[in-house]
Amino acid sequence: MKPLMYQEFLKLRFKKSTWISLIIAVGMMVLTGLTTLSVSSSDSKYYFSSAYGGFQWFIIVLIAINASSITSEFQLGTIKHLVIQADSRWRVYYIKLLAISCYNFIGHIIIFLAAVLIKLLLYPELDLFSHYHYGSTVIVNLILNGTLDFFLSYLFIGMVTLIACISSNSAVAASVGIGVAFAGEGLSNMLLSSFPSIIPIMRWNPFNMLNFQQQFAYPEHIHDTHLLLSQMGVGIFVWSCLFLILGQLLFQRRKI
Amino acid sequence: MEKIAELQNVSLRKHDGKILDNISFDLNAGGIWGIVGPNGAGKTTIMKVMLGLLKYDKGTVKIDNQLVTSKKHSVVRDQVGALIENPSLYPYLTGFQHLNLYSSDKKKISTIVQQLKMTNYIKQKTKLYSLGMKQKLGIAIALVNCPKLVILDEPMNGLDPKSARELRMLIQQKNREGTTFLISSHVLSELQKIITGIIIVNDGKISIETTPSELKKMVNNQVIINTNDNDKALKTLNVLFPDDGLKSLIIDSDKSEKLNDYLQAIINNDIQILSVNDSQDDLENTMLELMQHKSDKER
Repeated sequence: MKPLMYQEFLKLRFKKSTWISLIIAVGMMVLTGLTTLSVSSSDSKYYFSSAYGGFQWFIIVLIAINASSITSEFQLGTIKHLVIQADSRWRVYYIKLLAISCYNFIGHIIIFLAAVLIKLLLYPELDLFSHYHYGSTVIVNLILNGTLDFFLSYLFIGMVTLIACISSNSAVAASVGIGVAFAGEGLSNMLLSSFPSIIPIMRWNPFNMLNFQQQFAYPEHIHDTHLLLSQMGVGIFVWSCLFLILGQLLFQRRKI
Repeated sequence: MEKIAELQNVSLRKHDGKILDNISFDLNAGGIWGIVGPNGAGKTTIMKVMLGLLKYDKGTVKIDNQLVTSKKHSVVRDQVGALIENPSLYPYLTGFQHLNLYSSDKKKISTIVQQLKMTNYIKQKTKLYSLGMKQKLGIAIALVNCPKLVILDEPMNGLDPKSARELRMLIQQKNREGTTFLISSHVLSELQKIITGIIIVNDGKISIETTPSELKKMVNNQVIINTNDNDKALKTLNVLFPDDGLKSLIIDSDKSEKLNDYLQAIINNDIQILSVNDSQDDLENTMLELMQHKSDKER
């Protein structure tokens, strides 16, 4: 019997949607690159450092893949094989998270390389080593953005995994995750502006952490989030861990 | 005799009542054990408990002398192959990729594929498989690592008669090679042909653990005589054997030694005998009759 980790990679490899959705995300990046050809030099730096929207597209892909990775095992009944082989359910759970983490890492690398390729093909005049935010070069800004997005993605992984452990339908988990990805920041900002008296507590809500990258790009965003970038980092870490631990507890109790 | 599996006083309770109630039985190594009972009797639950898939509240489960719990069941991974409920397959993988995923030795894959006659479609994705093809692949996955114990839940589901026969032959062949089987089935006639031991489950309890031949002896054996004039035959027998108090031409086992006398009397009175049948000609009837007896007694 092959080790569980190997099995997870094999499943990801042979599942077409894993790679097709990633290709679509890269396609959307190319489209963004093509539609922003005539923007100013400053804007072209912004688009490049944000990987032509690639990180946002990849988060949607990651949410869908993560949701189906958990729920499909219960839907198909294949969880029985996994639990028998793993000896304990928590091991199955964390091996799945490890496989998703590897996919997450590979996805971010592909998005990074695609952004560089799009720049070379469509924006030859853009200097990768010209200065941009935080006194760093454009390319460093892209790397920083990718790293922060990778870190933030665990908040989504945690949330979606938790929902996937409750729901038996991957579409539900994916839809809620994507809904949070689109509307989470807005919802948090609305709550904070509507109830100023509870800001000291409400600013720690998980949706507020989704402003992380936005605040990195525009530091003045602190007036909306009421948190320092470092505090948001801690918030992301704590909420991600909390969601993942809750997910594990639900995963262990779920009926096979 | 060496025991491959032992269940002692296993109980499992869910909020809506007891699912397993003090289940105890041993499976001797080298047998083909059938586990039968009506829907919801607890057959699949017993199998899941044996595989470490369900947490039980009380008792002990041992496979190959090693304790099995939902948290610790390495012996199941190493020594048991199973098909529980439906075959659990990934639609985007081929049959071969499934076997590759679960097998410890690639050479064993081609052997089991040939034995189950799956060569024509093993390289196709399982989303294209029929129910029978999926069932065969599920069985192949259970057998591919040549485990000591194979647990098959309703393995004949979806199989055509030819495939069912081939599966029976394969089970017998693997059994001769030393594999012990625990098989549940509603198609009792299929089980009857191969099992060496039987466990009857009803309402989460073990009703009987025995052999098929012993099982037949447990219920009242009857012989049914059918003639061209049943009324005349009964009257004749009541005149000639008034003390026997016959009410019909269904003769109970306690009068079976007189069967030849009854038949002789019927023939001598110019009544034609059309058939003489054993009322208990299959395991299914026997089991249902026995379960009826049990529930009548409990009432």
